[in-house]
Amino acid sequence: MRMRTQVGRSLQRGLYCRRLRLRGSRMNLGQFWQKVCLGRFGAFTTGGDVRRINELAEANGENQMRYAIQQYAKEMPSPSVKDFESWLAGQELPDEAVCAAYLTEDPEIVRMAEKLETLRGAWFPSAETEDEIHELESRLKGLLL
Amino acid sequence: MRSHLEARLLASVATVEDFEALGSIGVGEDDFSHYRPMYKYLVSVIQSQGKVPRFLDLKQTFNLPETVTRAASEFRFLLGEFRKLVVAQRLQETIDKNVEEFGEDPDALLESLLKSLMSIQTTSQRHSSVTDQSMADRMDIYAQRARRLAAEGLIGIPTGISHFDEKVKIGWVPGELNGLVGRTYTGKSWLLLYFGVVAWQRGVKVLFVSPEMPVEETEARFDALVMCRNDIRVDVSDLYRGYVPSPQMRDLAGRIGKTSNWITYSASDDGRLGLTELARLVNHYQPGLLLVDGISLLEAGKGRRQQVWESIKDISYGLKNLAVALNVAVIICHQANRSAHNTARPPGLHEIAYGDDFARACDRVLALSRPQSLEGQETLRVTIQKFRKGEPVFGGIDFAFDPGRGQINELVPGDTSRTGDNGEDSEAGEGTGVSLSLP
Repeated sequence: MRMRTQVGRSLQRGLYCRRLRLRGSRMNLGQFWQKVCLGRFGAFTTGGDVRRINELAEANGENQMRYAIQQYAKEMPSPSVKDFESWLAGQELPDEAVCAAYLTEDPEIVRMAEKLETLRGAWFPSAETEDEIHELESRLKGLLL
Repeated sequence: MRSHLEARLLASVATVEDFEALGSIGVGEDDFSHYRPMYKYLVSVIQSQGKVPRFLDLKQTFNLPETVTRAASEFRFLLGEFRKLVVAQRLQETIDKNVEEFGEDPDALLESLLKSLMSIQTTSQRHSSVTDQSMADRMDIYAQRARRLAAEGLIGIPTGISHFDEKVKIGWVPGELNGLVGRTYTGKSWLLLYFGVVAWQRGVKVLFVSPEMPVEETEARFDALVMCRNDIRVDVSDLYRGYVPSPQMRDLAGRIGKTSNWITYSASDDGRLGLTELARLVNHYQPGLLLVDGISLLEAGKGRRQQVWESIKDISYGLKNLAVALNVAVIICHQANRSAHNTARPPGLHEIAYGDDFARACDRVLALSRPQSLEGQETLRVTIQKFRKGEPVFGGIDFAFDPGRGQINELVPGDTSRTGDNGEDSEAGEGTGVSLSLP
């Protein structure tokens, strides 16, 4: 039987989804980095740090970077852009849509993203699994990107 | 003597089926030292004409002694005698070769001999079957299985995963190698223990082999899991630190102490464990389920250095052979080499050291992942990546996972064991206890 991803009714309303997207994007990534550094570590950042973070965000995806900064902040006792860059190089982060979903912290959206990641981890995916992956991808992208 | 037996055996081959019987017991061209050309001639005639040559032709071509005749009734007897001769010869050759190679080091000699001899045993036990002829017999076997299924609810050893136990109704089957893969700290060892406890509660003898975890730690984990399944909550850290057991715990321990169905074995002094030692342990304890906590610390055999790929391949297929030869279900953990921030995605084949060989040798492969915890509930997701006897489950099966307090159980819709959204545990007796909490 095909899996049906259950998404709450409120979630399907575009307005709510746009609000979710906006909530996570109020500040640019440089500012976000500054906030994380100040809030979590009490460390100050330079203008060069902020510029570099913004450059990285342009090179990667914005949601991916925001998610990466969050994860880095959880792990590292003292932040530095250089250290963050080398840390980032060793990571295999989820794609933009999945990171965006994680950033919403909405249980239903996160569950959907996790389902997608789980299915993407299939070693020998069947046609049905591919269809499911495609469907979840389209839904997440439609909702969040 | 040997040449006479070879001649009589080959002369007695009256049909193509007779000739195929030679191959089915593992006898081939190399085993005929005197009449190898005659064997090859039989092969070529059977291949070209689809029938065995006339006895007269054989006798004239290969100048067979007068005493050699074609007596179809003798064939089975001669085949049995020849197999004994071949096995004896292989034994002798194996011993000679090993003594020559490791004669100076008795420990290495013993290790190598055990391994080599086991492979001889496996070969001789490997039997073929006349598939079409035995079809009627198989009908009886199927019917017998159906009766067992009706009586016991599943075939094999219960797994604690509803997909296997209730949907497919095929548990861990003797002779199967099952792989468990996950990244560091995903919960592989805990899940392995959980599988063991589920089987043990059904009266299956379990041998838990840990090449890295001390016996004391494994047993503390076992206690926490078993207590939780009996509605007694205890933090496994308390057990490590020291803990005054409650009367209920002592009572439970007293009842469990009457059984002796779980054996925990830790690694030897040098931290390595060989396949032959594993086979010896299985022979000694005769478990129904063998759990091996980590492939990386196992070694295929002493005496020669191996590349990692060789080692993983040898161990994987060695374990599969062991499972088949000793008729035991085996579950082994293997570690994925990436610790990424994408914990919801199960480790891929490419992330497991030489995962192709490992996956090929395994009958089932379960991959572990950890979805993000948003509702105060730690979850472990088990995806079935390979399942020879059924369909894989790529969508995963979720487990409530609080191993520190002994709680591991599959989450099913409406599960009462799920803790509340605020992450606080409810009181003991919330439903993690199972009806079959004692073996």
